[in-house]
Amino acid sequence: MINHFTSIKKLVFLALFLSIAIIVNIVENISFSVFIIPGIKLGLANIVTVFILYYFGYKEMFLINVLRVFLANLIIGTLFSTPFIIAMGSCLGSMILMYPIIKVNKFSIFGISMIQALLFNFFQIIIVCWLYQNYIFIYYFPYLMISGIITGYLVALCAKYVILILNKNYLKGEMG
Amino acid sequence: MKLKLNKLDILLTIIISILGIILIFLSFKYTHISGDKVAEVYYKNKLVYTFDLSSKGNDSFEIQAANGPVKIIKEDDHVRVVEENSKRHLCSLQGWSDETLAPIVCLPNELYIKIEGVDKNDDVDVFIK
Repeated sequence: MINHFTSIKKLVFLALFLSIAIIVNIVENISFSVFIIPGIKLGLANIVTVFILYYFGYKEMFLINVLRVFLANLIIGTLFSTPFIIAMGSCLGSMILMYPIIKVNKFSIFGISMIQALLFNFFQIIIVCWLYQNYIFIYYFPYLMISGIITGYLVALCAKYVILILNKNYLKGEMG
Repeated sequence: MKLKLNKLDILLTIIISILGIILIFLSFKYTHISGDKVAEVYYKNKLVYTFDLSSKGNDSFEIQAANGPVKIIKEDDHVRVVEENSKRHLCSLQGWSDETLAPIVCLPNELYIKIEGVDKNDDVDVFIK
């Protein structure tokens, strides 16, 4: 009975955070665009990703991330379009390469978030180069490296405060 | 997993930042074109129009792209997208471009403009008899 209760609670939490991630993703897609370099955005939905990784683990993070990209694109109406292929490809590629880094467990959430942003940007560039059969986009990568470090840090900082507040007030000993 | 920034995170930040800055510097150094340039307009990976950026004067080109008409204008040595139909209008917001490192990319319209140098040197490197 206890096991059932725990798994239902976990399911509810994951569903709740998935819906938050989708909403954040859509809102960011519609409104925010840091226009220093075209196409750069903060990746606020990754706050939820880091949060889920911290509380639940890699498997749940992978699932939530893939579902988030799929459902957000379905809602926006860009499913199976070029942006969807880029987002899904980058998401899957970065998630797979994240596995050994997470398993090593040497980095804090800051390191993990920064590496995730870098890998996501790297796969984004690779997929765009492949889709357009042109290597010119590779020149974006150094800028995306710098932006990935900054946005990765900011995302981890937000996730840290979310975790600290939820730990203190609501979720102490509730997850798992 | 820890919540505090550790030494490894700081090391990663420093390495990536330095690497990024070096790559930006190198890309500027080795890809900057000081001579004559052309702006090539690609739609669905096919070259559809070329602007000559070495000649003074204005030029424009309009194409029926994936999301509707896209209008590109050229003034002297730079080009920009002035009209397009996309969700965030990134390619028209980007403004003027005359650098190889700043291609104008419009993913929703499956169109991009890249700046290339023109090789006017007709010297023969190798002559085979």
